[in-house]
Amino acid sequence: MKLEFILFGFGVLLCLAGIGYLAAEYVKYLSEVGKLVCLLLTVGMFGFLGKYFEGLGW
Amino acid sequence: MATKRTNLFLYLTLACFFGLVAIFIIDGYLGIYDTVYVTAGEYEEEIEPDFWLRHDRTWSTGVNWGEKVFFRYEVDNRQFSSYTADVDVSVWHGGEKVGDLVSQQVLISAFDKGQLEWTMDTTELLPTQPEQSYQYTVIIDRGEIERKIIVSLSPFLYPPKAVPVPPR
Repeated sequence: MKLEFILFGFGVLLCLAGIGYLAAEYVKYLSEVGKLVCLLLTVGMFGFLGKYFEGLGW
Repeated sequence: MATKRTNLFLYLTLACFFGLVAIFIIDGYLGIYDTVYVTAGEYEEEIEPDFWLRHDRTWSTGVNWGEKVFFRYEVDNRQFSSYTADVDVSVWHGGEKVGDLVSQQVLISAFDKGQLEWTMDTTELLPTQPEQSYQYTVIIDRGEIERKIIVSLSPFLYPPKAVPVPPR
């Protein structure tokens, strides 16, 4: 169970790091619509992730 | 049923994540990006592609009369198809065209870079040394894209003098 948590957390951190790198490199080239969609997708991603953890009972 | 609903949130999270990645790649990475390198004096200045995206900016640089300004225009084609465009570079002063520097067609294959180089000789713009500073605008036209670089031409106030060799 512990290993599962560690791997899960590691995976989430890596995904966030990847998104952070893409944002740092390419957000300045995004169009205004692209920036808005990214913002909505980011909010949605964290919202659904929170609901998923809530469903798991965390 | 609760497990299915929980997994649904996980799938939506993953969909948002991959959507983010796709947006950054499609909107942020893919496209045509141009970089201008300006060498005036001994310094090379790099005008990155995102500079032109910020509210119609104009780059400024300065040079002394008698010197040359070297330009290198690099077009990065980050598309799956080849890119063709006519590049026209001209010099303007006070809203009037002074001359043409480059007029060339570029053909860049997919995910490749194309490059143009040209030189602006200040003595061709002003044959005699001026007593005041003048500003010239170098306009780079690539299809519908226009880039403006202002070059301030300053008089060379302190011409080099030969240093006399002291007697031994």
